[in-house]
Amino acid sequence: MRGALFIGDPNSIDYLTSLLDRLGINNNVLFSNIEMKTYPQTIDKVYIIPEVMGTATLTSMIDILRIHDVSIIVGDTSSWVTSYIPYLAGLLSGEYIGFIDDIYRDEQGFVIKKTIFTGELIVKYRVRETPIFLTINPSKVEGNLNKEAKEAIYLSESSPFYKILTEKEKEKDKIDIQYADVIVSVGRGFKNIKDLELAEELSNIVGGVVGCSRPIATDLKWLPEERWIGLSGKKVEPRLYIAIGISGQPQHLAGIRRAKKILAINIDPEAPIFQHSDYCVVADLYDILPLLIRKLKEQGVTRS
Amino acid sequence: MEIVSLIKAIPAVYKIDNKLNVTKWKLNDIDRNVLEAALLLKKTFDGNITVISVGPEDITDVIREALAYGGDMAYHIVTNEYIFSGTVISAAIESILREIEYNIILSGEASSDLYDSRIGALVASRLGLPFIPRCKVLEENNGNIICTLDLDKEYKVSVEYPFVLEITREFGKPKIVTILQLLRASKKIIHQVHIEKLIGKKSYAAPLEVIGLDRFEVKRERRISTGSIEDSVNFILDIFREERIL
Repeated sequence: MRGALFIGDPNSIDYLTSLLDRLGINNNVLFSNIEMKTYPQTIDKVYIIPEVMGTATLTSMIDILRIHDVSIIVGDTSSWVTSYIPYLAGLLSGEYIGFIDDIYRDEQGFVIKKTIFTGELIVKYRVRETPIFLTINPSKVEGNLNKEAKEAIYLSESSPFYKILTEKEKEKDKIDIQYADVIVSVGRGFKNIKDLELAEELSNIVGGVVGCSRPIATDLKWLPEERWIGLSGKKVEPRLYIAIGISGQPQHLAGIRRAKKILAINIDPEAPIFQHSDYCVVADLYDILPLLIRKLKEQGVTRS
Repeated sequence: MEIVSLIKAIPAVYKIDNKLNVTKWKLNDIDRNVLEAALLLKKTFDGNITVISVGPEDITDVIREALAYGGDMAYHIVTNEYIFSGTVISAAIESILREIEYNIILSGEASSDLYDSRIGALVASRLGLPFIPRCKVLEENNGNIICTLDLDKEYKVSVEYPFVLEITREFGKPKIVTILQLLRASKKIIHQVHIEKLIGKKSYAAPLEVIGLDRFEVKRERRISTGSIEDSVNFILDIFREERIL
């Protein structure tokens, strides 16, 4: 059985390769928008594709999937990858399941686990027919995979679905919030962008990283999107998640359900976040944070 | 211009006893943005909005709410139960779309129940239409449609219809529907058709089988501090020590 990997973020390749290895699937095909120096040994063919979908690329990809008799196509959750994969699924009449948690095989075939209903339920699916199309949010991979250089084949697009008039880079940062041990997360309770310095300072002292709810990254753009935690942002599993000024909308809670412990600071005693927290502080963040930072400093706790 | 809005009724109140039993439905949040986008297109290009939704008999109120936003008529693809399979849902929507006129089909970036983020792309590929992902701004320029797409970069693109356009949560602020709009919507036509009539009984039995459905519960301690600021800060410091953060 052969698989295909679909990579928008080069950091996903080890995780997706390991996932297919675990399913006993190798000689895999890789689709990506970026050529890399080396690839895992279990990858047989490498195709570089444009981010913008179009008829020519999709037709070539369908041919490749058919020629290689690919049964399972798994991609990361990069925004353009999550557009391609269901489109391919529709063309090949395969079942598509996005943002899955895990996949394994039993004697009857593939079983897919997924958190649904903004993290309230876990569903297990059995898919009776292949090809199956999946996306998964990558996790950390222990150890290193054996890698080697491979020739990449470029697929070009002559009839893209849309014409690009302008393009603007988004602010990116190198902090990988997904694997952080402690996350200090900020929400709409912060009144100004400058006030995020309080969260940064606390985060530095406790050795954490700063994350945020969706409006902080997407509406206000106070932090890069890589810091956005929630259903369609990053799903995190820190040892301690400190939610400051975050009300706790279901979409945000879906991203923190696997946090070991949650500490919430919010001025509103009715904020939903308190129903899902281990430690609840009902107070104004503007009273709490300066005093907390001062006391930590007085106790000699500084890491920055 | 003929505009189609794909909207989803998602469970608001439900129980699980081996399978999912939904007792109350609500309109998927992001689909309010879909309806806003449809209204914008309707006003700009002088068009009609057709709403399509898939779900059991009792999602009619949700479809009426969508019509109150400005939809002109609706198709309700009736199912016997909650559908998990994107293949089944998109096949049913495709069969309606093959029978009606459209220029632009709008779908939401995801539904907060299953969160597969798929229907727009699946429907587009079944119909052989371009799929334009993650649109957060729609503009008109000399009769052309210009979309701002929120991908790894931010793109401004022009598109020629017909196409399927995916709308993100950032697309404007949805308006609140008034009682008068709801009353008017009650007079609008909803065509009901059973899914088995559209795609056959065999296809309805999806290749996707639900073999387990459980609550995902994490027990939280819920220790609360409501004392003075000093007390609350000491409470946090104790937690940091307990959790070996310091």
